[in-house]
Amino acid sequence: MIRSLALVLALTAPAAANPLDDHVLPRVAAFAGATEALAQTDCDVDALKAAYAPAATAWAAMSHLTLGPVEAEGRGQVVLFWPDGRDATRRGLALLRERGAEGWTPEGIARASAAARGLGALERLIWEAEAEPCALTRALTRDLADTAARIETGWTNGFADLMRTPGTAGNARFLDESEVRAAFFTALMSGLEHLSDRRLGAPLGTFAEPRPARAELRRSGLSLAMVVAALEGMRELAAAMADAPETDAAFARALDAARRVDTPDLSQVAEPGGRLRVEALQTAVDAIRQVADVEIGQGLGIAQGFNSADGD
Amino acid sequence: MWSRRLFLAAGAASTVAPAWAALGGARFLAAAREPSGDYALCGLTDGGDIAFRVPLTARGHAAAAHPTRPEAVAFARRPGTFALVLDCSDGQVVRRLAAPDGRHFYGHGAFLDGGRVLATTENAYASGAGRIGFWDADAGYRRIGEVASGGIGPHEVIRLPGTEILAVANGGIRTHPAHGREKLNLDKMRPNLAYLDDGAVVERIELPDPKLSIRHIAARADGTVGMGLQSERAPEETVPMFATHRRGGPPTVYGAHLAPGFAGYVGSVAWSRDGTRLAVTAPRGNRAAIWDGAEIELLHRPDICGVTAAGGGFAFTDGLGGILTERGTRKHPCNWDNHLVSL
Repeated sequence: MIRSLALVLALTAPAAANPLDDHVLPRVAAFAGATEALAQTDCDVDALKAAYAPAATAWAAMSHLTLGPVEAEGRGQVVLFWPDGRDATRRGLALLRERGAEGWTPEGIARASAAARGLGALERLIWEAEAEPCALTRALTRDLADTAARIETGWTNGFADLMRTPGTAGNARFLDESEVRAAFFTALMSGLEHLSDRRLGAPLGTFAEPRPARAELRRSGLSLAMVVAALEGMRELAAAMADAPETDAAFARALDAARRVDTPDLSQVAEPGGRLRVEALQTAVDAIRQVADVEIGQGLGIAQGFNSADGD
Repeated sequence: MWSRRLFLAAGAASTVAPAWAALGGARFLAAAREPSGDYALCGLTDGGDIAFRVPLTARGHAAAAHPTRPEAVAFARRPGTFALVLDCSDGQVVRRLAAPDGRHFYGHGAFLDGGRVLATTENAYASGAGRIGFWDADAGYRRIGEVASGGIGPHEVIRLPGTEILAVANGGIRTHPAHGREKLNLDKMRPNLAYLDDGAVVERIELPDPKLSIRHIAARADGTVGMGLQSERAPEETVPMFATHRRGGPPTVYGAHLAPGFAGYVGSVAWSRDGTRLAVTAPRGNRAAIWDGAEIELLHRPDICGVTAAGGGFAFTDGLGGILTERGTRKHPCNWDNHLVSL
């Protein structure tokens, strides 16, 4: 009786979460789907804007997954070339326009600079140029969807298997299970760092010199939505990696802090009262890093950067 | 003063000396940090197994292997002032080399003259001038002289195969032990690759971009030197990550598109035995690149840094304890330090 009850409990207990099935694969599929929907959208500016936002936030929810297929061929930069302190996006797009329609084939776009492709270039076209020329807009939405599809295929058709089979013959990328956990943990920690230092830190600048024009995707007013999507995506990853209630609570506090930010483009960084709320959000993000480092990282026994930090 | 007289017979050993091979089939040397926090110098087989281990008193950097005796010189990490000569057959410290007053080691050295002379890279830190120190390996590693390295911050020194000519990577970055590893001259750094013959600089080349520190070098049989570069520009800037040079010609730079993924930093460089491929490791980018003169193949491993020729290709080590060879992979419970040295 007791044995059979235990058996029932074992069978009905939810399977342990794992980052691949409960985070990575659904998120890369969602990004591929959202960008494909954008690519299927005609050159109607309102329709493009409506389809652009979910594609952008789907990226933010997985942009911390820089390992594997995103890292290959610099695809992360191709999806969104940002930060772009020198406005390479404007110059790249101008070059692409000059080249004319014969340069807007898939091959032509693939040869263009990363800054002229992806979400950053599309935001300029849709919000600042009425999506004209239409053929260029369509070529760029197609290119973005193709890149997203290659990222998804890279995961489903190779990299996920490498992460599932550490230590097997031919798998030089992951020599044991601890390296798989370390790879996810590194993605989480560097994603949080990017969120704090770049997504929030770039527009914050300094008190004396705030930089609202440096906010990510400010033209489309998606800067805050990108922050929220990134938090939600990384919260999902953290939950799939470990039973980490304190980390989860820290994510919840950061999402609360994000709700108190009221300018979608984070332009409030330029006025003292509003700035405080963005700073409070940044502080909350930094707190996640500290909590996760202890709660998740110490359990993994990860030795970070023995050589990379050496400096010789 | 050291002189040409020491260089009478230069037998370039292309196969592992029997004295080394007898030590459990050791083919490579690498320094490591062990789980206890202790440091060691390990001999590794071509399958990646540990053939022997010799304790070190502090973190190592690179090692120089004597060509005929099972003797390794393990250099302390910069700015170390000592190097240990180890008898790898019994783990005993044969000698402890102390840098002369006002000098510290940079962490690399090379044997000359069939193993009779050891050359070490040193910093005369009061002036910042780079020095190459010479030690008589047949007379208890007695200091026998020193010469100018031809630049600031000489890091790796190698012997060109089949010759007694030294190639020195003068990294160009001035440091002073009183300031730890702080870089004191980034605004006017001028790295170079210098060639020394009989103690004199006979050729010296610079790369077009002075912000690319030349720190690690490797030479193939025809004397072509491969250089791994470390950028002092922003890590995302697309600057060359490696270069080659053959005496008498200009240097050629490669791999600018690699720089963002490398975080602008190469940790080690090696040629394949046949000289057709060059490997550079990027521990900050968690990847290595293997270049065949046309195409570049990437290998992804966390904290990958050590590389040397092995079999028809390369062996790599990383900070997670991994050893990758063409014969497969091994993982040891240690952190492999920067360099992997062929015996």
